[in-house]
Amino acid sequence: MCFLGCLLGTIVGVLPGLGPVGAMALLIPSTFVLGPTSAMIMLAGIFYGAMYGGSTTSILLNIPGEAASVVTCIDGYKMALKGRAGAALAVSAVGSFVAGTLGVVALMFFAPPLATFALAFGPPEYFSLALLGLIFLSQMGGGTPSKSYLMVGFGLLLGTIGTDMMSGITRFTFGNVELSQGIELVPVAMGLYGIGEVLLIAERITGIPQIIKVKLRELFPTATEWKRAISPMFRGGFVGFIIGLIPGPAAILSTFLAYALEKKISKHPEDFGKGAIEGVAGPEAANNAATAGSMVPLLALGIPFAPPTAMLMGALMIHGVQPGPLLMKQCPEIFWGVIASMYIGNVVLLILNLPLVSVFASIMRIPQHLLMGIILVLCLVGSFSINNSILDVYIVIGMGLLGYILKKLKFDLAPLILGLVLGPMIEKDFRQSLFIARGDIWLILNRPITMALLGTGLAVILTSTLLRLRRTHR
Amino acid sequence: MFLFTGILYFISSLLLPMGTIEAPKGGLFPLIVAVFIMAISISLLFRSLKGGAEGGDQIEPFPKGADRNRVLAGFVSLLIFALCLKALGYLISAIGLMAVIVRLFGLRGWAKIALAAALTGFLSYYLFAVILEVPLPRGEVF
Repeated sequence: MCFLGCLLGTIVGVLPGLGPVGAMALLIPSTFVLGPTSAMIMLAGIFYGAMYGGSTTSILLNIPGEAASVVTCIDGYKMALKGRAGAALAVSAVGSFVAGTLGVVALMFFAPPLATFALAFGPPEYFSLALLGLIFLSQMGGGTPSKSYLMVGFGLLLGTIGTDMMSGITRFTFGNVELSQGIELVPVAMGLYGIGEVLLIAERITGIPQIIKVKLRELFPTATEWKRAISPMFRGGFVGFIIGLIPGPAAILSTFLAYALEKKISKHPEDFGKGAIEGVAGPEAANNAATAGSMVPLLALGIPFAPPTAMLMGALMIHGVQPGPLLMKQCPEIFWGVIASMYIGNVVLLILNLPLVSVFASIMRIPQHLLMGIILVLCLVGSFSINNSILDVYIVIGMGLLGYILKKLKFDLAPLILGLVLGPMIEKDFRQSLFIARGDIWLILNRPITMALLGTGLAVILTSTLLRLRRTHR
Repeated sequence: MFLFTGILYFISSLLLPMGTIEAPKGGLFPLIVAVFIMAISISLLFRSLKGGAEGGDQIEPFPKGADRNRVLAGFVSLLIFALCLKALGYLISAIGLMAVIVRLFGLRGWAKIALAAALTGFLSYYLFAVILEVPLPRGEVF
């Protein structure tokens, strides 16, 4: 399962457009025949595999296969034009391996104590933590904060459709019995990221891109290149893991931060943008370490802070496993199984990505018409297979159109996905908090962890708003 | 569009039982979310009327002519697939959809189109209906 996930993830990373979220959504239905541990291992493999694959097309084609590989295009493609594509690919793969492995080690040490600490959390703490996650994502995500907050609102709206778990009443179903089960995450994600992307690509038909050929013997960087790349790998790994812990587009943010850091401290900053190997090693290490970091909140707290981990949480719930701090105690095979698979996965990906780089790059030669058709068919049949319901097919199509329109209007889709996933949890914890406090809001706010979390959220909003206003007035 | 949805959501939330602050019921949270959506939508509306298109406010222009028609045709094909799914069954609907999509995306030659459509239809049917044992619709007409 680990190998399959890594292979699929690499393929998805190579293909621009689909992304790990869309791929995970497409493949969740096929995990029904697997147990929850195998399903998680495969889906997690797709997540971090996509980070490896994304760099291949960034370097060979100047087309980022994944949003987190955008920065790699800057220096990676320049290295390829100078005939050093092999070195760039090797450094990218090794950097991803080193940082990914270190990230998994850190995950192993961070997650258990955090899970133990989180056992002291009650509904007010979970409510504030989830809210903080949405605030971080909206303030630091791709689009303007107001647009992101609007997407959060829509995600929360979608999450309220169906049967209210606490009172049993149906909400916003308009008499439709199938809607009483609620709107599933998978058709929404498939529609927004899968069908929406296909409709976007339908606007302009492109030909088969010219791919720079790489021979096996050209894969080895020189001693000087290795010397320049080693430290950025470790620095990128550290930066990526820390960023991965924070809610938001961790993989993308980590690459930009790592690149900026390398350029700042480099003895040759003038080389950046012209093929500096540090500009490849640092960001590629960062995005892989960020995937490990982003697994910490999911495995330890049961709260996803990014769309890929939201998909993993969705998969867990579909398999009847309740994510949370008790996951480690109640389902240790899932917890440690995923961590072990990430170790193995990093080795598998290193082996896959170096000698087979030309094979993966040639995936780009698959005619667009075939690829788009297959993605659409898989989205439709995949969404049907969730509940054997034609309603889910209509939902995925509707979400596809919505995803297309939202992308054209420059809305970030991640807050919508997280709003949908976290919405039911936020509502449940909100109402339970009010029950516990008998309506006294101050009793809720007086709890130290709740106060700290909500205070942090407020500080993030104020700081971000002030910085924005200052930028506008300059 | 967003404000309109927010208003509809707000009105629908009012029809649900609210409960009290000590014992909130199913209508309270949707009401709060509806107010949030309306507030943000109004703020975005004011900004766009003021004409501030800075950074993230910029939008990508919608396509025109043949490009727009291709997007619309793609979307309509998906709807037709969903409408035909129960009556014609999955296999025929999927083959038909795939044929339309590959044609839309530029594949020429009816033999190639038929081959691509048939292969995709049968392989996806095999994967989901046979391997994953999903009870795909068989159709009512045939």
